[in-house]
Amino acid sequence: MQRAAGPSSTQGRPFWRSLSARLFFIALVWVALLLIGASIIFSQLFSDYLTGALDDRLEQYGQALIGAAQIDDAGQISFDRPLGQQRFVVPYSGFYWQVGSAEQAPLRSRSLWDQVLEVNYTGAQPDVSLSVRPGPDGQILRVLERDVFLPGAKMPYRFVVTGNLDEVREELANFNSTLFWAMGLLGLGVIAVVALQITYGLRPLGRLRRAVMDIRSSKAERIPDDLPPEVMPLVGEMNALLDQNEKTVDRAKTQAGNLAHALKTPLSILTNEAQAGQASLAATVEKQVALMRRHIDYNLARARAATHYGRAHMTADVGNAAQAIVRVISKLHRGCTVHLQIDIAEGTRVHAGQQDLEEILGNLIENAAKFGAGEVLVVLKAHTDGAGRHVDCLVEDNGPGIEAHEREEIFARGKRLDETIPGTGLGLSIVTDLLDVHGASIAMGTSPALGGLQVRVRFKQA
Amino acid sequence: MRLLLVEDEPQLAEQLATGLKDGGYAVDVANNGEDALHMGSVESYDAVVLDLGLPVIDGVSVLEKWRDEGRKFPVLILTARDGWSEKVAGLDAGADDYVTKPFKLEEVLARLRALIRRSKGHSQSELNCGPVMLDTKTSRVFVDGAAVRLTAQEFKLLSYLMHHAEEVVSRTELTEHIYDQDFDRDSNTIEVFVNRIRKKLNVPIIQTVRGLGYRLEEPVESAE
Repeated sequence: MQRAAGPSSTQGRPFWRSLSARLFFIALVWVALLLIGASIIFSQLFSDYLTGALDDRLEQYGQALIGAAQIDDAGQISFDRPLGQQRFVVPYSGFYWQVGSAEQAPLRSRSLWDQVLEVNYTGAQPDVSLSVRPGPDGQILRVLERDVFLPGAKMPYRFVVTGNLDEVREELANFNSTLFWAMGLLGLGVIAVVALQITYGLRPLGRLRRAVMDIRSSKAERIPDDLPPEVMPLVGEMNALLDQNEKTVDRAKTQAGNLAHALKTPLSILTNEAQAGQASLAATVEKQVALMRRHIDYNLARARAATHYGRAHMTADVGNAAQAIVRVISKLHRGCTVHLQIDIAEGTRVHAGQQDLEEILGNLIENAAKFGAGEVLVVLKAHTDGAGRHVDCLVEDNGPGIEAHEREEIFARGKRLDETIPGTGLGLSIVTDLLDVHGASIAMGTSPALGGLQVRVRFKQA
Repeated sequence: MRLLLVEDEPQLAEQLATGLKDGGYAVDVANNGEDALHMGSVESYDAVVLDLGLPVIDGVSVLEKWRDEGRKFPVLILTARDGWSEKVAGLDAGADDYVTKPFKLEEVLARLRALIRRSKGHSQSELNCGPVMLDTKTSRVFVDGAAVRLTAQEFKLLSYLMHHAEEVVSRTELTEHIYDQDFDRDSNTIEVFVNRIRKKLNVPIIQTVRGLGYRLEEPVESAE
């Protein structure tokens, strides 16, 4: 007779409120911010690198152009050698040069073809200026300008060299695309590792939960102390709480017991006084006292059984308990012969506390002595099945037995099939409560040896 | 028969003592474990009614000490604690029977009668000696089936002798087991009661053993 497991801790709670979700979300946001920031920085750095490289090349081309320029006898600028760069020959390559002055029409690279760069030759010009301008055919050009006084010239000539910024931008776009995929994959990898880390890191909480479940299902008494140091303070507090609960329950049980026992003496006095008094008053008092006693006995037994929930890890020597009860029954019921047959190893223990075991066996064997015809047989034997190892305790008598349809009724509180024999009718009700605590079972049948009732209680072997 | 009643609750002790005296017993009362231990150790009782929840020394400890000292009188435990563990502890400590509170006085008297009978070797409630039959349940005496009226003291004396049939019982022993502690005892009273019993029974079952006391035995004609 097992108690049902408690409700799942995740029922009714959104996932996003879980520790895993919080840790995962924080990691996700942080990783995303880092990767995006890194991507922006890397992209900008690469862009600056590409632009800087283009500027350096333009500077070199400019210097080469200036080095090749000369003023001829007519006072006109000319070049004594070509620039040597193929890109300045290919029409509309984006790489152009143009040299001119306020008084002379500009000389142009072949790549400009039929286009002329718009240049203000009369405006003031810093030593070197770099700018971005639209060029022919919708191009975006990187423009380097420099004014140079050539030997023999009467005025400065403006040297303009351009590079194709579209190529730089295309190269940057390719880089960014690659960067995006690389960072994306990196991000996925990091998130996956973070998820694994969270799962592994929170695993002790799962162990803690299982430990608490073991306590609730009476498989353990305390939470084990082999959990990580970060969780141990919580474990310590929980074990302290369990200790406190146990003491509280013990105190309550003791107080209930003391109250009940304290009531019994006054009840005895009332009973005896009533017997000496008027007949009608005596009958009333006796009846009410009997009722009070049944309430006391029942609630006392319930309180005792209730304290054992959660302590069903207790075990007891079933052979010793049976021998003790048989000794007592033999003394209290001298007209009855009780045989005890032990077919289990000495020292065999079952899952039941000593007191509970004696209570169970005491009630069953006494019932057999009361309702039998003078002979009781108690047998202890081992039983193994798919559910594990058990000890069967068979209590048999040579009485009239119990009809099959009455066997369920007798477990009801206070139900007595034979009112002529003294008793409160609470014994079997208490027995079933205690069996429930310890996961034991009970079954009734006919005794093959004595012909009367056979009651079989099956305990889990410890 | 002389009983020791050990009960610390005064009203219950008084009720029980009265009931036991009405049942034909001489009753001594102790209201704590220490006094009970002393009285049980030095006095001769036919039975003891012992409450377990006692001040000073608890009932189980008192019982264990009596048994250790070799005191063999039957003990009936009275207690509010009716768990089987408590019954095992009490009976293993040396008790012979167990009554839980609240109880009926009749139950206590019936169990005491049975205990005393068994302790003297009698298994039935009716004690027989020749034509004389003493019914411990109804406290009546019959001779050849005819009822004989005895006073309470006469009945106590005859009952004690029949429980100790074939044994020599001294006047002192009779005095101790029939009268309460505070009763004004006179050994001549025993002789008077014995003579009156002999006359009423008109059967020679009570023999005088000179210098020793009395012995109850079957009449020679019946034995033959």
